Amino acid sequence: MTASVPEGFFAQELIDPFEKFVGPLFERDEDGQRVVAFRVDERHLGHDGVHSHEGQLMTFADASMGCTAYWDNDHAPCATLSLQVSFLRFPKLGELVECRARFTRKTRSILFVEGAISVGDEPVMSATSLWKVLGAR
Amino acid sequence: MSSQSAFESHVGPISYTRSDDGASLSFTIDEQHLNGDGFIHGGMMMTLASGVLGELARASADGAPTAPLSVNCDFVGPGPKGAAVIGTATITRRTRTVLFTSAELRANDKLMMTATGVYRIGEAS
Repeated sequence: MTASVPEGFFAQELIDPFEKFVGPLFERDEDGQRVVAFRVDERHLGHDGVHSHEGQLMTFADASMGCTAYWDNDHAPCATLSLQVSFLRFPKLGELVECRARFTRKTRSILFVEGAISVGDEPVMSATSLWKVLGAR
Repeated sequence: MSSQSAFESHVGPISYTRSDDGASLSFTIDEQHLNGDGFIHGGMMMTLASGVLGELARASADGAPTAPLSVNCDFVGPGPKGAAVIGTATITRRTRTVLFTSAELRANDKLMMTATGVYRIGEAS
């Protein structure tokens, strides 16, 4: 699947086969804040044929909060323990969905990551997640 | 059986069954579903969990539209490539406008994910 890279973004080099299968994912830096994005295309649509499926939205939340958990924690391998999302408004076909994630707390073995997902200035989903740093105790 | 969404068709095949007391799914983990460590990706797990919860919500809404308001997933165990996944979902409580649901996914009989979902019944107001 080729999709044009939105202005100001670069295409992430995806490693996980599933992320390649539902991607691409894009990234840009916004004054030190990592912004990860995907554009809703035909493959992502839910039962109404207009809006993104919740599975794709949660996959995006996991992948984009995972960027923070991995890249912003010295590249220590980690795994999702738990992920919670509220769906405020479902993004439509063609819309660019962005995630801004940040740590709410970091311990040696557990990371708490919060994600704000939006289309333009409008919040569409809020997410929280819990990550295990592999090998740390 | 209801028709599947484009997303479920893309990442599938996923087979859903409805019964009097819930909904279930079956699925086999293939190459394109994996993460970098060779196990099912968390996004695919959550797609299956929300898939069986959504199937249950549609089956329980007497034809009214439904939409997830919130979904919570716990990643209890890994799912290796080739594993047969079975998912089951049940209703915890139903009101006129809201449905509380719960699901679990097992890979080769081992618990992989537990999930809960809250669904709206009827049009958004």
